[in-house]
Amino acid sequence: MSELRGIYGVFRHPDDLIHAANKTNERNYESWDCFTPYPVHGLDPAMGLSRSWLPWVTLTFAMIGLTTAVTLQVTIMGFNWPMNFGGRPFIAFPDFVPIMFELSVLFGGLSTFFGVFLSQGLPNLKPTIIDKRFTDDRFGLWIGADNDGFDADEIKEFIQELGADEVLEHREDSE
Amino acid sequence: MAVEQVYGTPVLNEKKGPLGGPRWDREPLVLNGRTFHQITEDVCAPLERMPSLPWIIAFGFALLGAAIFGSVIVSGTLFTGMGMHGVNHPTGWGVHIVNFVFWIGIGHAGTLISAVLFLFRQKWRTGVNRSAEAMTIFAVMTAGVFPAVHVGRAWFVYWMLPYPNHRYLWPNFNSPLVWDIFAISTYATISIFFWYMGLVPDFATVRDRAIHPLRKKIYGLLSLGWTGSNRAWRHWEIACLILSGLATPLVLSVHTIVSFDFATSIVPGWHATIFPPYFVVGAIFSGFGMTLTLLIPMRSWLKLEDYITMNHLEATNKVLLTTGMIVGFAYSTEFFMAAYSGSHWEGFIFRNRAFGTYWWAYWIMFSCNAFVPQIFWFKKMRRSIPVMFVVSLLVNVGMWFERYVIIVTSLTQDFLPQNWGLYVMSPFDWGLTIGSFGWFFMFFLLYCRTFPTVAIAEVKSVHNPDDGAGVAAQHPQGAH
Repeated sequence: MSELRGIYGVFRHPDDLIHAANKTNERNYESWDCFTPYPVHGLDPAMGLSRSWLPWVTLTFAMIGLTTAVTLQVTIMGFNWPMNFGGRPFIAFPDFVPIMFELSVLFGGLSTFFGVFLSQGLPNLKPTIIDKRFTDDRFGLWIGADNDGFDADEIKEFIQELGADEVLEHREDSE
Repeated sequence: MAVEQVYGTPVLNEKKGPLGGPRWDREPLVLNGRTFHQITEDVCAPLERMPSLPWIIAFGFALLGAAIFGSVIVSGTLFTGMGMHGVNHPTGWGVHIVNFVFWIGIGHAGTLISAVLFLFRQKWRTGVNRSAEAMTIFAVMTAGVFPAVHVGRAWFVYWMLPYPNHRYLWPNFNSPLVWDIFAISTYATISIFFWYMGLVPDFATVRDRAIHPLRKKIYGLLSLGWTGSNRAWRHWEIACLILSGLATPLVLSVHTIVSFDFATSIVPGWHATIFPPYFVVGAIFSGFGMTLTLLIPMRSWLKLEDYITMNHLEATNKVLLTTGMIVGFAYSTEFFMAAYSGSHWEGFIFRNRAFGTYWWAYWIMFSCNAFVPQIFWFKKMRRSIPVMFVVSLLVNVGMWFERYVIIVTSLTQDFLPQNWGLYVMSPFDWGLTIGSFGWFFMFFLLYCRTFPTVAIAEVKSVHNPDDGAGVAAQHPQGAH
């Protein structure tokens, strides 16, 4: 027995999707999304999404990387096993700058990469692929069946009015 | 009014101007009015068909080179020892460091294209960044082999890392060689993740086209379950921006630190403050040379001429011309510094470079790097495939010899004539050098067959959706 999971509209042009996203956003659904083959500019404000918080993750981890590099080098060169290299000070700080930079970049970069995917629940070995055309040349508007007061016929009509090429149901086998 | 259309020049659009007059438009980045679906088809097609004959022949040669590379390393260095190579007193840094610096330099163009041109909003980057960054990763993989071979006992290479050990020893953090370990490994890691970041949506595209279940499974794993949700794109875009911002100073730092390996020593010809910018520009120059060497056959074999257009190649040639002149300027500045410093040793080493034992290497370097790219002042030459292919090969040769000249001339004849010697490359050294190209091309050729060689999502994002034939006509909502 398959269960209705949501309704989606298929659009041909990104501008149509932005228009549709604007209208859908006004309805304050809990569960809805847009699917595009490439990042469409203007879709974030249309969906009412704010600017990504990702830079703060990068900054935090870059600072952790910086601290790691300073701690590593100062501890090793100054305290754990101080050695005299050509009469330089044990803690020759300018010499530590390159590795401070490298580790900041390394930690910041890796956290950015993992931040993007982990925050989206990826890697996901069994993703729900609603329509295979959304990674090719079509733009999708999805409204989930788990929204409060979900009325399939009303939503189909709504998406049709927004100018969708096709309005389809997504069903999955219930466990 | 009939205007003669010269390929690559702006296109005249009558009555498209803001006041109804004529307007000159740039040629679009994707030619021949491709639709989004055709872009997907064209880029994915090579992945979904059997390899062509040129690919098989090229791959055969690459495998042969990789086999030479591997056997020289295994039988020569690992089983027999460093004596198989030409390095000896006084030239302790021979073929290994020449090749290491050469390959690291090759990598720099990929990061430059994907990161610096991203920050500068150069949209033509989208057609070539995927392959240029693949080149970066394979070049760094090739470069990384050389220091490991050069230490002689490659199985102890992990001693270079700082980890608590029973010998109570740490690396010396005052040494640029230790900085290099951190710089190169960070560079390799960030390049791979940046590259993979862009690949994830494209792998999802390949997954959704796949028919064979195994292919679906493999690309499904690689795509991490990407669905194209805009809630994910929102973070993905900002992450690309951040990683570009991180990779830009990173790429500058890497070759700066490589140049510190030389510049912080007291050897004449190496001890110069000009080294960091000189090395970075040289790296970008050589990397763009290699980019052309790879892209010219690739775009024709994989039929990507509509995506990697003549305009892309012309832009690359302009970078080659600019950086070639900066490199030539750096060569001349070195002579000025030697003369103006009044240092006896510096003066000798530069006279010796140009007119001494290794004069031939010096003039190969100077002519290939400073003179040959001057041909790109002419538009006809910038847009001629045979010319640019030959120039790109000469640039590779010239930049290999640049590292050869820097290392060999300074070490063979330094302060005391009693300490002088010659450096002759042994057959094993030649095997290592030529083999490294086979190793590198082997990876690149495999990449051409299994990865989307053009960033599908990024090309679509700079492509006007109304350009594609058929989309505009079926656009139901009109303009809003």
